[in-house]
Amino acid sequence: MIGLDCCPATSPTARQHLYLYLLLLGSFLFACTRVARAQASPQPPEAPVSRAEQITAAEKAKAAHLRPVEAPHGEQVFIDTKDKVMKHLSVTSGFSLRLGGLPTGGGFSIGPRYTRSDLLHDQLVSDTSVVGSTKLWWRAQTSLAAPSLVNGHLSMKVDAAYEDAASVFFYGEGPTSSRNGKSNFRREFTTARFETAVHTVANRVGLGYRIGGLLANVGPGRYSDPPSTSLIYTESTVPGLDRQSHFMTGTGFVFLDFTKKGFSNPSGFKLQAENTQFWDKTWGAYSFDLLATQAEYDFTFANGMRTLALRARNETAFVDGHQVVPFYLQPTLGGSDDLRGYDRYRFYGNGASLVNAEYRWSVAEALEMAVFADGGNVYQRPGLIGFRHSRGGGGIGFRFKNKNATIMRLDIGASPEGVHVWLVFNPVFRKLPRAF
Amino acid sequence: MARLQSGFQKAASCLLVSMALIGGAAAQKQRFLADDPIARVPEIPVAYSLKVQQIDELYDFAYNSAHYKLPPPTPSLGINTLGEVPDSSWYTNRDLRRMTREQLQRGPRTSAGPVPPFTVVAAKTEGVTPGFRILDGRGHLFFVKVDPATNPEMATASDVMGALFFYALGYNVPENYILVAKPEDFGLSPQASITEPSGKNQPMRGKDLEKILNVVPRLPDGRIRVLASRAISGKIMGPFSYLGVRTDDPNDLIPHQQRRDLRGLAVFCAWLNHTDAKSLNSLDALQDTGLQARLVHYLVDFGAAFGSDSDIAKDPRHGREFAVPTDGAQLRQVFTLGLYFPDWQTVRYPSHLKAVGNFTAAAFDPGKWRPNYPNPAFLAMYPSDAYWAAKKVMAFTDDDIRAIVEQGQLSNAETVDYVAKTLSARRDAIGRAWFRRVLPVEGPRIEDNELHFENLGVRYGFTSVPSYGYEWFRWDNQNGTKEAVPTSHSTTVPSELMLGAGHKDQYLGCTIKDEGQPDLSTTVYFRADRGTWQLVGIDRTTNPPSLP
Repeated sequence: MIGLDCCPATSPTARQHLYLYLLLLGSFLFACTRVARAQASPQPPEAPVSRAEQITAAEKAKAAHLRPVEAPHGEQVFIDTKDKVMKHLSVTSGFSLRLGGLPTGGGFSIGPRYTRSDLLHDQLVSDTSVVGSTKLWWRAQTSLAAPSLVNGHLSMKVDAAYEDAASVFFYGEGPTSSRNGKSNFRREFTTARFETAVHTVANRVGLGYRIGGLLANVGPGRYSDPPSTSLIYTESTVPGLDRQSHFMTGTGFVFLDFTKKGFSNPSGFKLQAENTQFWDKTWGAYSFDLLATQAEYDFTFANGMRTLALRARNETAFVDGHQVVPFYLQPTLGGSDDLRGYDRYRFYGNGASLVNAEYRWSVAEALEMAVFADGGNVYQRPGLIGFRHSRGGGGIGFRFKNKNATIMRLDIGASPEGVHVWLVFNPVFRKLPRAF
Repeated sequence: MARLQSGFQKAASCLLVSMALIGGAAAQKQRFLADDPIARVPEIPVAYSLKVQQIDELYDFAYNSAHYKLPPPTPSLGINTLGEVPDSSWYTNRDLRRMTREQLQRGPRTSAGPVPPFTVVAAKTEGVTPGFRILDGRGHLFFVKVDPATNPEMATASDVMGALFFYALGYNVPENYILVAKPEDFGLSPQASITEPSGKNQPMRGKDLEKILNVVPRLPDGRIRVLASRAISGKIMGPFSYLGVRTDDPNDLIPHQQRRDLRGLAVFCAWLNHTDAKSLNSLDALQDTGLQARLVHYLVDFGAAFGSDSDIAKDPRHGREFAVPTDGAQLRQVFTLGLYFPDWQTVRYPSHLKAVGNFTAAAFDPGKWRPNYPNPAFLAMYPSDAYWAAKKVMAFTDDDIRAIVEQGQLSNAETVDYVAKTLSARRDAIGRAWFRRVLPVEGPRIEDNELHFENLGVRYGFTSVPSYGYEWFRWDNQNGTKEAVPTSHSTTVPSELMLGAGHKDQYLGCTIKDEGQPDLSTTVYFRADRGTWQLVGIDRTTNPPSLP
């Protein structure tokens, strides 16, 4: 055996011997290790001779590498994201985000919301929100409702709101108004209301009364083009333009719903009627009654996959003596919910009639298409109800739905005044437009 | 890196199981092993600490809806050398011919149902229909569901009938009972809680229970009829996925989309119109302990089968279209502006039989049937899987079907009759559709040196007796090779092959061909065993062609 300390470090021959020695030693140790490993490890098992042994061997092999079950990476990311987003959108009690909530034409709106639906064992619901839109419209509202008293036969609600519609379009009054007369104005409504309603026949029949107050203010719109309404119209042709009023209001309403739930649309008949009395408490010059009625009939066929839907609506203002209807409370036509081939708020008048017909076909559970025809006119006094100066149009629509409701609607309407594309998040033929 | 490892482990598992269960891997030259065909998959104890599997409903819908195209063909696994599914924690072969009427009607149910008094321990008011949980007089826990007011008896009957059919077909299902009781039979546990629509969980009051019971449809005598589904025993470990394997179950070796019992489930679901066949309607339960501990796989919730969609009659498109449009028929509806009417839109449903919902055999095409959204195992189904399942469906006689339908306790005899007849008609449609994709030869045996077998297509009257051709061969099991014996083209075993019949490890085979359909054949393999020939393997060609 050669000791390292016996070798002169400087001798080349001795160094070569040392390297050789280390190489041999390394080889010997490596060989010993392999032999030891080979002896320590069991012999490879013989190939299984039966199917049961084969399967058991595979199970045992897997058992040696088990790990906790977990969602695939994509699903985990989805779950985390969904939780974060839905936490803010689907809160039934607490703070969340509110999407929408402005009158039609307000643009995309969003804002904070605070709701409580767990008060008095879910009997009382409170809802407070502030939303602002891409068109700089604003609305703040709060409400407290008991929607299902006396086993669902009675509901009560109190609400208050401030709404600033910064750029409502106005084209002049009457059916012959011109597109060249397009203007915009700011409309501010501050309201407070109390409503009670009774519901019966399995919620198919309801009637109620709503009493409240409306503080109205109009001013220059936020757009310079089109110009502000006050720049091209006057109080003499457009009542209410210079003088704004505070109103007391009382609304009686009734609805009948004899529709049957269907696969893509309900079928049957629906009727709504609402009469709102406006008492002008400021000038005593703008008091009137607004009677609005709407009838809808849906006929489904092809196992519920096709629907013929018809709607007729009329809104007529009744005035006494020298009273006039302020332009900002007049019925209007034009937009995503009535005459879809015309600009939004295209026609103003003391009365408006509207008929719509749609042929809808369900393409898939999540998609329905429709071809539609719209017709209607506005008029200045009840005696002029009829078809004079009627405007018409038609188009095609795509409705994206879930099992219970329309989530989004893309309607393309055409008329002699052009083609309009509407992307909205409400069903067509919905409830009567609100008077204010 | 973790995902790479996971992928490697999955690949290794697949390789192992392919070797083990189809016996065709290169490492294993012997096609038939000593115990083939196995009747039961051996399973080892589950000793690993399992976690509950979470499957997000929306993700599952979105992911599978996006993967609606037919996947590249993959072999069916989880089968023995006869192409049958052996018993396992997934599946149990239940021979209908040996099941009595009582056994069919009892299914998995071990008792006559919940016994009073019924103590409500929890409830929910969110969702479309209310539901609650009760403890019965013996302390058994039941989940209670109700019918929609528009269709009394529909969903509850569907849940009971569905469970019994799937049980008879071989699956693990919960014990489902129709419970008819007076509202006052239900008491409230002092610890009962209720989930309000707001999502808040709070103590449940008598008023809450009253509110829930008030919406349950009443029988003429004032009693209510509900479904009581007994809680599955063991520790619930979440649903199973129809894709991949559980990483924590040593016995879960086969990717689920390749399991014949899950692929063939598509045919069963088509028969029963169980359109809601998704992961979330399944459950894994860890049952027993120690050496017997196994993860057992259940199908649950059959309220959306037959003509029911749980809370409403079934949407007529269900069973024919996915929720998200994927096929040409839907595109055609877009471009024809709704003037094209698919056949399912024009069939008539029995609108006067509210308990049926929308269920019909008209316009039922087994090949076009769809669940509500794509199911990876169903998409991967091959004609051989469908044939296996169709055989099971065809085994139900009209009386068997009626026996189970009667357990739905439908009060109107016309409804029972309609459902039973519809199921019989759909059964026959399934047999017709899938038997023509193979040469449906069953029960091959050699007796007195003659090959005997039965053609199921002929037996059920779907086809006349075809002209058969026979090609006999000697099978070298050690090398996996055939040696043709050209001297015989009849059912008689060739004399060359008869000589060694008493010898061990001697094999012969015969390819049976339908001479009218040359692309369809069935090859049967026999092994010499104590002087007789024992069936050991069956291969089938299919249309479309089999996998290599």
